[in-house]
Amino acid sequence: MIKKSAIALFIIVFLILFLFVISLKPFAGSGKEEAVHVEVKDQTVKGDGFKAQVSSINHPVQKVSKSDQQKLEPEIQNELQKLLNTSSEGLREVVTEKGVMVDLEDRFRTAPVATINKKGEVLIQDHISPPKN
Amino acid sequence: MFSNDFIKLIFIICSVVLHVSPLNATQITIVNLDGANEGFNDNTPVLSVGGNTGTTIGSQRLQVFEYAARVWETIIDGNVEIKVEANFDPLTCTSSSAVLGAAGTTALFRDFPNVPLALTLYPVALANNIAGSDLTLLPDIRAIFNSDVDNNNNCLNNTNWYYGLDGNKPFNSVELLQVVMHEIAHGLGFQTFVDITTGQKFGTPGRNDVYMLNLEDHSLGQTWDQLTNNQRLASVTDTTDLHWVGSNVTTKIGDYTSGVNQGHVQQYAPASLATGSSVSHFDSVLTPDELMEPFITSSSKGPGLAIQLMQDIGWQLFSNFSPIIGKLSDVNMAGLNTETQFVIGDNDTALTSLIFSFASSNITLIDSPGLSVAGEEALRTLIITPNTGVTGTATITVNVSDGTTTVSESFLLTVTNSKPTIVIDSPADGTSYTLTDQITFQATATDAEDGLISENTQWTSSIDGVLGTGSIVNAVLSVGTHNIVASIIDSGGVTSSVNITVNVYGDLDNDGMNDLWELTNFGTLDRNGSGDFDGDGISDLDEYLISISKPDGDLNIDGIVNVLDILIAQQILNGQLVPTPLQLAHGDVAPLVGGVPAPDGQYNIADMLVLMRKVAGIISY
Repeated sequence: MIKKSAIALFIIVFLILFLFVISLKPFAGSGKEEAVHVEVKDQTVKGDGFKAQVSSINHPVQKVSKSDQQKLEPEIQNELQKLLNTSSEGLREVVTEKGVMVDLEDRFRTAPVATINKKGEVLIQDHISPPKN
Repeated sequence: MFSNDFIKLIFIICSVVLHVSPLNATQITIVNLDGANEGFNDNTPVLSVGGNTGTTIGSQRLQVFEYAARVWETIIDGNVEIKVEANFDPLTCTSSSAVLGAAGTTALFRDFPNVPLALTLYPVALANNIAGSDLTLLPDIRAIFNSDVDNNNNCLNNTNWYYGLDGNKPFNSVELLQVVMHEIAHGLGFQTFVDITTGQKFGTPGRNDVYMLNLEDHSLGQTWDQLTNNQRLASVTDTTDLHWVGSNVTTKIGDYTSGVNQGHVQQYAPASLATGSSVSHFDSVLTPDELMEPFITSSSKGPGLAIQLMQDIGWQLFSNFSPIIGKLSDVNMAGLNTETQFVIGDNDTALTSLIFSFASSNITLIDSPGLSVAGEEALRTLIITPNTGVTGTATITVNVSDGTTTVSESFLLTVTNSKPTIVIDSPADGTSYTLTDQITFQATATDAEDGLISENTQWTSSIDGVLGTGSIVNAVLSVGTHNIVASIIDSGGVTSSVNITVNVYGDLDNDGMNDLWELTNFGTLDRNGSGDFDGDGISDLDEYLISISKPDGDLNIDGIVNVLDILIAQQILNGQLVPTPLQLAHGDVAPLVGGVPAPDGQYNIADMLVLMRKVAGIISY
């Protein structure tokens, strides 16, 4: 009698552990999109512009949207080149009676860019630095 | 000098006054840089949308900016005005993409009064806040937005700005409020001034900025101010390893199911810098979504975690964030009630927990019970029900409270009494009747304030005078052309009326035939009845009498059905008398269908039997 109970208890514990392990796996296809060409580096998994995160053993793998990968049209890139500048070269500190001030002369601005994807959705990305050509 | 009790009393009074009438010291002013008829001054008329009560594109744009400013005003505690210079201008746009705008702080300050850290750069708005005075004449934030997005098929495939304040944008639109709140946050200091393309600190010699002091390369265990240029450059693309270590943000990590790592919130650091959004945003994988992620993925839900980040970089915040209420447009109404929409918000209280109250400057016109709010989300509907029969104006104040602070917005209500409308359903204008006809008059009357008021319709004839009151009135009119007037008066004393003409014909030429029948059949009143217009052997008069006769058994045409008619019937059946067409019209009473004579065109024994039963009182018809 005791032997049968022990076997039943063992099976139950095994099933619970099995379900727990299964639940830790990422849910493929849910929410954010699949990464490609990943290579492992410490706890961070990276690919060509994509990334997956293994933040800790208790955190599931997360993936960023392909919207990260918007390819900007040349006209938009040119406009961003004009609008965005993250260089402080040539800017001067001015000492005033209330402190030291630097007029940024419209540098270090941010610029939101809207793009329509193939589904017709409007995606907005806020740009800090000018795009690299 | 004063007793403790007196001082306590003064304190309590002051506390109550401050509690009832909270005053947000912070003022964020939108400085409109647009010229006439452009940008904020674009006079293209539009309909109110999503709680934005502006009536032109320009005024709706300005209302979005002002609402975004209010959102931040309820968070930031300061006594120095924050000036945001803004304008709309055409920026590059193609059919599939557009630069929506550009914004940022105008200047950096270091070593100003009250500064917590020497040799550290602060955006000017934050420096002003800490110093407690305006350090420069420059505006704090400058923003330009793309005016070409609106009503332009060549820009984003006719995608337009959405100017609603309710976070409920249509599919193919760009929510301006979300973008403006995001850009203002950058201008307030959600940004590093490190050149993220080189890793170099700002200026020569390189200066720390207050934002970078909370950026940590976690694997190195050092904040950005401690790193070399190359280490910072590597950190920019060190996905998941670039963390925000400010204590106020960190205390909130339990609210997020992803985007936190090793006890910190991750900053956006994609492996490729080409995306251009790195470092000065929360990581895009942060869940739930945040305003200050690099990709604007959902509608407005407030600054969220950016509030704690602002606190981390040195902003003084209110201990309680007051509710926000959008503008209410003036209302002109006529009728029993009307509705108007407005938006509310709150950065630390659920919208369903906010409490509404109302005040009216004219309680004769409308009092609090005549005002109520429907809805549970940001967009609310104010239902306005003035007292019945009263007109005038009132200033209505809507108060919204989170239990600690109350904010108010007022509008002017004007109630007018609209004119009732009335329509004569029957008879049609110009209808003709004979003298004996009973005419049914019917009308429908409605009033915006009183509803359906047809029963109060008053009927008069230009010849016969008052005909009666009601939606339906029956009358037999005198001979002549009547001007029939149906009039209605509402509870406010406003009258409407409508009229028709009705012609009633008698026998003006006294020939025994109704003039209307004569005109219909002969086209003239010249005939006297003795002739036979159609040559059928029946005189015109008999033709007329037949036309108005009924099968009643009155064979001697004396107006009474009695035994004399039976005698005539017997003579007819015996062949002693040939009935005239008029006698036949009266005498042909059989068969009875449903107890009513249904003439069969013959006169026989069946007709006499029916007549006898009628005279005997066995049947009646």
